[in-house]
Amino acid sequence: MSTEKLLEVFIGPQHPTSGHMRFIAELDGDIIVDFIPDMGWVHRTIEKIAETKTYIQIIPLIERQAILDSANYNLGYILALEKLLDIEAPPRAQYLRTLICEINRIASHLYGIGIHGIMLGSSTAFMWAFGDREPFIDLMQMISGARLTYSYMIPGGIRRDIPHDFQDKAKKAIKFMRKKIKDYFDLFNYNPVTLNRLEGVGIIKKEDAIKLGLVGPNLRASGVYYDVRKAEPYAAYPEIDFEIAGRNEGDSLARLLIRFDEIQYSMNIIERVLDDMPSGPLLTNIYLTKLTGEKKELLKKGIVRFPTLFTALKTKEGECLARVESSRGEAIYHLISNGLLKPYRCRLITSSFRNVIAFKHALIGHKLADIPAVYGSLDYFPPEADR
Amino acid sequence: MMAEDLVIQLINELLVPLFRFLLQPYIFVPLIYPGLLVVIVVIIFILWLERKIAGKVQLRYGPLYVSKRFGGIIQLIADLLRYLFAEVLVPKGADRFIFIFGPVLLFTSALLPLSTIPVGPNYAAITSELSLLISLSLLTIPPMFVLAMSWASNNKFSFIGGLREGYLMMAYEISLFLSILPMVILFKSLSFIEIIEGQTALWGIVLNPLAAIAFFITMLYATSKYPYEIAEADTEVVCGPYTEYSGILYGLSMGYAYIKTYALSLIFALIFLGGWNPILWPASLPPIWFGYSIPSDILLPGLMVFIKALIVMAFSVFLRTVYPRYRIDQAIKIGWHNLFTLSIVSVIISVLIVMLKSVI
Amino acid sequence: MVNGERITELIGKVKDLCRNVALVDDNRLLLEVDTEKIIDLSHKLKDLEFDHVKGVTGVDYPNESIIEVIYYIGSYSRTDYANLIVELKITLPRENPKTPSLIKIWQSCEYPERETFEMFGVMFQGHPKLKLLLLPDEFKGKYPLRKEFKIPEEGIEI
Repeated sequence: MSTEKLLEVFIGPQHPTSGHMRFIAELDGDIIVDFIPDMGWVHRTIEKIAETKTYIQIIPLIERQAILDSANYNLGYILALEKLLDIEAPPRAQYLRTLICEINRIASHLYGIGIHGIMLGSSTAFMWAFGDREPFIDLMQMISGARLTYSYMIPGGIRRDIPHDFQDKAKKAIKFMRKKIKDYFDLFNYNPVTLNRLEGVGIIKKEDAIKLGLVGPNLRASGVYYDVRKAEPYAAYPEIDFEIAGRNEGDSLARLLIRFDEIQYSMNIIERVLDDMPSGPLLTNIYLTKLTGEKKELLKKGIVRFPTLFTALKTKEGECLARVESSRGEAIYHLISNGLLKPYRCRLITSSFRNVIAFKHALIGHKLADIPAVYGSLDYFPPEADR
Repeated sequence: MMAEDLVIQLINELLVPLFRFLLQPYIFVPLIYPGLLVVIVVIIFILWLERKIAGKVQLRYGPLYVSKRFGGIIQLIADLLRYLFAEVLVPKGADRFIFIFGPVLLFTSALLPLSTIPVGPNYAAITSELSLLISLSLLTIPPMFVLAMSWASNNKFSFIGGLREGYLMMAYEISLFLSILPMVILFKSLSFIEIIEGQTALWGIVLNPLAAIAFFITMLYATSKYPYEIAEADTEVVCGPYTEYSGILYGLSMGYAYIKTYALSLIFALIFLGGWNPILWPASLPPIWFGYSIPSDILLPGLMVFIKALIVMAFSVFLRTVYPRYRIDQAIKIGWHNLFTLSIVSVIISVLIVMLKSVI
Repeated sequence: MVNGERITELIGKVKDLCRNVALVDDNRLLLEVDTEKIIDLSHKLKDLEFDHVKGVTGVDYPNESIIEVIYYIGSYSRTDYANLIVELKITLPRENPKTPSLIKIWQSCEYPERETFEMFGVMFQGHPKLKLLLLPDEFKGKYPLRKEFKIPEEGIEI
């Protein structure tokens, strides 16, 4: 094929649906023959900055790689840090961590669904999803005091207990969402236009998904039922009975629907967590004893103030690998410590960074108009990939 | 001289000739109703309505903050002013002449079909026997300017958008003419007024609903409404042919789509919804100016058609909240397969009805 | 299979290709390997159904004048390996670090290797597109994640 026949289109970074990245598409007519995701437009050198911060200062920094999913990303770092410190959070803290992670997963999936909707041109799905995110964001605000960046987990525990009326509010939000999901299916998911746009588009077969090393819902939509929450349970997941979503089609529709499945399963988890929540301390005993005076008083109200020791938190020399299932997939943290105040190396492997390879694979041979359909279905989040 | 005399003289010498001039159908129709003046009001109103309907479905307010008491209707005027006074940028590589004149010609040519629309039974600018055909033929002109604009922009997205517009035009144009053919066969005329007179008892939509559906879908295609909002798909080709346009030039091209919706809705109201039927008012109500009864020749029939057209428009913009957009190849396929078949079937139905009538 | 048995079996299969084998944590197997043997070891691991690379990391040790490159390898196909991460560690000299690319064995290491290249200057031989990925094309200076690279700071540092 002569190159003159091809049209090279630069999609992004100033394009309504490119996100913070650029795609270089080679088009033969309307068919994509080559597709290169060009990332790094929001690279913030988080790994490098982490080397200049103390362990506590890194907590808010690390959330900023995926601001929609900060609870899960926060937890991964805390797990790695706790292993290095040789401490473990008490059970109630573990349950609360699980709780906020699952609420965050719902909010994050709704965001992805909304973006997918607007990419296909359904402004209603977009508006609904963003509106329905609010109850869950409010829940997280009730727990942590922040809408997006919670910094909720600290080494050895969490910062706050849930307020007493939380349980009712959470159950109300879940009831609302269960009812609302039916509307999504009626109007958006099973809309004939949506089905036409998504069914059989951007298929990633099981063996390809494995070969490309995809993660999260995108992997599970291709028939590989791999979830870190099951494979290597952390926080309160070992004690809770829950299912993971899985589909076998591997097309864009499956990737859209699996997010709805996960929202439903996450709501089940939240209910179980709320029912089984043990009582007990919020912080591990080693740190609890260090709290004195006013801080001890506040602790009774369910507010954990940092023990002074946190300003100079030192870990043992060594390295540690921890991983969590964030809402977009597996996230891996590798902390290397040389026993000083700051980590020697803080490696973050995020889920979107591992999913970016799917673009190259899923879009070849499709049409230009399929780019938003597949992009949205992959729920790719550029800031998360770029770090 | 007395002041009253001056006023009377002014009225006699200025206003009377002005009214006489304005009330002539070939001035009134293109300039006032259904032409330019009403078009601007309609664009503002339908944009407001579109946002309000979408807001209602999507559980939000829509325009609200400017003129809160009136539901934010002035917000659109603010929008319009913004389009009017925003700087017009012409990209370096663009063909300046076509780039600037494209939207202007687009807007004006989109107004042309409106001048063929009759306001009332006794009041029309073009009383030709072929007025329906003329108006539809005039409707096919503007897409040419869209193609020219997309080419002149010298932008890849505009280029793709222009191609899409061209392909879609091929897909719907034949069905557009085929879906009015049933009405033409039923009423044995190509003139608006005669078709409307034929609908005094039964409306076209009752006689042949398939034709109405086919026409409505082609209308969605022609005005790039969801789910066929493909040429301008902002998430795919960044507003397609209009990518490089800004300020008033973009305002004109955006206005074009709404004028086209308006024109097609009027045609839909005239040939399927019975036009000004049912006539609920007596003929020649006063005041009668310059040979025309203002209420019963112009105002009431005009209002009747206008309201019907607005309902059609409101429904077509409401679809944005229901459907995502099709892919271009799917839309073309639907245009050639389903829509084309549908319009052919509707023609056959009309022929059958006419044959049945002649037998009985 | 019991966790311990499974790992012992695995260690037995790959031991002779590695310089050092260590069980870092319950589910973390660290294999230190020489650059000459990494291709063989990777093939072996691939045959054991370690089918994807989770990520590639570089660690800079200027004092010892080495750069460590770590591949995190996991398995989707085998459920009993689901909780296991194999760390494949190679040690390279800081000056002109070179190692064969594993992209022919694991396609999933395309982007991670590119990132390690731009951040540490590790040349992955055989990688089809060793260009800047996250960094801008006009980026000045070398290898941001090496220790001598300092972030220009502004404002007040407490």
